[in-house]
Amino acid sequence: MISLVVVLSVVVVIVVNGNIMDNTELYKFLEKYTSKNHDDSMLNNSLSDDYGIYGDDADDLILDFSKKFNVDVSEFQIEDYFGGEGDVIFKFFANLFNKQKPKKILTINDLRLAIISGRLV
Amino acid sequence: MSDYFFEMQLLKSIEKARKNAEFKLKYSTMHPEIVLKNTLNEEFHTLNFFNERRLINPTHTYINEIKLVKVVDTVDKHNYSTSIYGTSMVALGLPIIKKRFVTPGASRATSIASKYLSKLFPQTLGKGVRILGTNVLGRALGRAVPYVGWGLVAIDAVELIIEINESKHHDKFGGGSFGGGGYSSKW
Repeated sequence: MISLVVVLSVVVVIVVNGNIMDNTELYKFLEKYTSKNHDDSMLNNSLSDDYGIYGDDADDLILDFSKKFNVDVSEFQIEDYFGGEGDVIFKFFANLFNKQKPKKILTINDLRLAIISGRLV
Repeated sequence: MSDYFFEMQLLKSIEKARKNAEFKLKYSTMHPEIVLKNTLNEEFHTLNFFNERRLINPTHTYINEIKLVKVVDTVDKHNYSTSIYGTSMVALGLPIIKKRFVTPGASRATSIASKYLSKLFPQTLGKGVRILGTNVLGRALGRAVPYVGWGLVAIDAVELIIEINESKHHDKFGGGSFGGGGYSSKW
């Protein structure tokens, strides 16, 4: 019984430590795109709403994220999460005539979970 | 040399007469040519050249005709170059260049300004610095281009509205500017 508890504790520590290590690397990676330091209290921050990431920056972030953490993003519909590059004023007028559905939210925690699962969808 | 100084005095007198005539025309119903002739006479009388010759009406002797040609800035003569530059800059900021994203079937678009300026200036702005949502210098410049374009278009639109408004009120000479000699003018 005691040995089982010890083994389980070790497993939990490994998993938790694994997650902490990933978070640190993830935060370092995100700093390049957000220009901010991150910690665990910011896991629910939205990349688009809280950091203003959109367009080519979003494309670069997702592609770099995929390469760095070996995450499959082939089924990730980036258009659903981030606005495109281009003139914001023109897009505002265009949206008056062609209502676009609201963007989904991609958080730092979503990226963390994608690292663990190996896929971002 | 004395000719040069006389000419300078003459030009100064003409300019002063112009400003006086402009001022008087705001409160006078007299014909602008008559008002201008009177103010020119008043100014020329202060010049020794005319006094020495005891000329009663210097303008009559030395200026045979004072012709005022009204030039009105109209919409036809409006210079649209600001709008052209502005519209071009807005066009450079439109997302017209398709690019393939890694997701099959999904394509994203970018603007000419963002694409090429971010290649030309790929440097980052510095730790903690983000302009227009990016820390890449070229991309920030590319995102600023359409804003500048819209600004130019707005400035030109305002100028056009002012010109349309002014051309409606150009049946009288109140407030117009005029000149002679080497001064630029609307008359």
